[in-house]
Amino acid sequence: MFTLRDMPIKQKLTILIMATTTGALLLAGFGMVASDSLLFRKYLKRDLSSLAQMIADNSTAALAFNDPRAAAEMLAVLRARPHLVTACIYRLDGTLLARYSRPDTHAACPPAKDRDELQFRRADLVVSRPIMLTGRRIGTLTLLYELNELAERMRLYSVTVLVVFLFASLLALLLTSRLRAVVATPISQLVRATTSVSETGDYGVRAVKLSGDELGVLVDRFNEMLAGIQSRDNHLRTVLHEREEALRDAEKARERFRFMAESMPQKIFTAAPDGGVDYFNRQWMEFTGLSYEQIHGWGWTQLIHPDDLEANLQSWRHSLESGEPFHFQHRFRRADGAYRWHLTRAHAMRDAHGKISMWIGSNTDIHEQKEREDELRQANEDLQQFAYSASHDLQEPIRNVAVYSEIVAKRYHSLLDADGLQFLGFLTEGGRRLATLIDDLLAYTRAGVVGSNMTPVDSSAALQHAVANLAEAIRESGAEVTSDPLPRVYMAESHLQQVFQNLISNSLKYRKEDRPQIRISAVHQGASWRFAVQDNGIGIDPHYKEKIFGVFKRLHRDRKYGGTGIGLAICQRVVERYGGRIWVESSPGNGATFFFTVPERAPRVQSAIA
Amino acid sequence: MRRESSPPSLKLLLAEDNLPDALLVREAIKMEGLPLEVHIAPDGEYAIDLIVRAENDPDALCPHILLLDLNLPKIDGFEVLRRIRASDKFKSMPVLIVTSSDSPADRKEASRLGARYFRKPITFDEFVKIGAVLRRFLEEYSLL
Repeated sequence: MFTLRDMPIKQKLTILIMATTTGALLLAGFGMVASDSLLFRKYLKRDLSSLAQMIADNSTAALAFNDPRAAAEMLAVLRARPHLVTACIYRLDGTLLARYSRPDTHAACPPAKDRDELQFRRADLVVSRPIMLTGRRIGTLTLLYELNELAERMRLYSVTVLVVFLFASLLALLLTSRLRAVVATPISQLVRATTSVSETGDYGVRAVKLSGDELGVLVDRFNEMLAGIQSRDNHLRTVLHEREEALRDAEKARERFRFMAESMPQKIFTAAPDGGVDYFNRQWMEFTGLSYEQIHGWGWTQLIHPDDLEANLQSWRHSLESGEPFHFQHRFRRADGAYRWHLTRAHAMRDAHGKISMWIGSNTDIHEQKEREDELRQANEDLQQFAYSASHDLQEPIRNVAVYSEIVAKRYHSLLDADGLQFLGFLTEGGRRLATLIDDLLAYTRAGVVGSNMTPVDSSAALQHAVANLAEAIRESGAEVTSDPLPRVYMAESHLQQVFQNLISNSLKYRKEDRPQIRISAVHQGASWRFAVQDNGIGIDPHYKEKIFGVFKRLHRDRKYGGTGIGLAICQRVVERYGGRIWVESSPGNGATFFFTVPERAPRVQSAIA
Repeated sequence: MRRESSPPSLKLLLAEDNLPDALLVREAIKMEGLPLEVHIAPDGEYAIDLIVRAENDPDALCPHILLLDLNLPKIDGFEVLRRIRASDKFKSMPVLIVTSSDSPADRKEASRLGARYFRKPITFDEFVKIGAVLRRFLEEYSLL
């Protein structure tokens, strides 16, 4: 049903205004008519009462003398009142003395009443008044007054009210149709604007403000709201567009990745952040002879050699938790059941928030390389052993030459001339020098071997051991060796000790007359520790700062500075084997500072060639 | 095998194939004035024979201390040392390895088998310091 609630505002306003106007007019009309009727009745009552009194008073004589004519004449004056129908004068005994009737009527006389009475009936008014003489009732006057005057008056009034009502309503309707626009038009505008927005989705539409009232404020707020939505809508569109672009790019990248992965000779995989593998390339299936379903997730673990599995899983879980790259060598089972060594690497890909989104990895068959490495390691060990044996075997005759030439020079001093003693001295010196060279060569060979199963060592301990080995030289020179707190590093302690020992020994050797001061420190620099051994010695000409690291390179032929010139070469060999570098900063006379770096993390390659 | 004609009560077995070195050790002991009777075994096999005899024959030579070169003919020094450590009678005998080797592996193995290590120096003065080393070693074992 089409109720008032659902009507358009325009009609609603019209109905409301018209209802109010007509209601008010009707009420006012009724009020006026009712009030006039009441007033008129009151007036009529008073008028007839005084008329009756006047006629009663004037009829007293006629009644007292029982003179109907005089009474009739008296009553005849009532002709002037057209609405008076009948007037009668009764004697005390109730007989009629005189009567007046309007010429056009023959109405009967109303009965006389004992008392003074004025009674409205439906169509007329009956008045009964006693006629008194000296305080004594002598008769009664009755009047019958027709009330059609009242009805006429009411009719006239009603017509007037109706006409006024009609004109007023018409006026109200006209005014409503004009004035309702003030309220309805802004609302219609607003409705049109909202309809347009909802139908077209165009948030650029604005409602026109037509007034400064609440509707105006509503339009303003509505427009502001639209502006806000438009801005957000634009932003959303941009974001959506970017997202679509990104998705397209990602899809392209994925396709490129798949194509690349499928066309590479290596085995490629990707894994979810939890470590479960969700992609293997074709090479994987070909190598394992298994289907994706058999090896995806954690199914690949069945292919790893049982001896490698635990360490592999441990390392993989460590990478998953820390986000550090995975780097592991292990054996994978081929389709024919043979295990082959592989190097597996995986790197975490992160999203814009730095969260790991996936892992991308490769498995490279390094079986031949591994076998060659093993052979090489064996050969290397054999070579080391040979070097020790050779060194040992060479030391013995050389020592005999050096020591016994010394003994001869001491014991048979008196039997030899100056030349003989000098020649023996050459023998002793030559022997000693050869023995030192053999030792140094052995140390140089050893410097090239990086051990396996690397664990970090305390470099302070290595330094202490080096200082202990040099205790005699330090005591003789009166040197002061100080050190800052030193870190733990991935380097065999024997190697680190050797580097410290050679550098400190170098500082002690190339000292000035002053008391040698040697300071060892370390700072963290990038992914490495940078150690420094600083002295206050004679310093090095920058021209030679590369040359001094050469094997058997000595800058001084002076016997004061002994040695074979291999100490720094050993340092360089050790440091470089661990992926670090060594250099010197110095100028003549101002001391020297030797720097060397040690990578913070354990060396990746577990074996090396001496 | 040569015997020293001195009154000492302690017997030292020197397993050394290089005579010049053996003489230097004897010289050092003499210079240090240690009351030691030096018996020289020129190879590993000889040294082991001597130990086996000492285990079985109460009258045979029974050394109190062993100075052992590693690079011995026939049977090398470590093999001799392992044989000694397996013997009930000699498993606690003080052993000083005297060698030209500076190999860390050798030092480690010597330490594992409970032997001291002395690397042969290349000057006479340094070499004869083995006398003082030996004295301290004997004192440690309460043999002096």
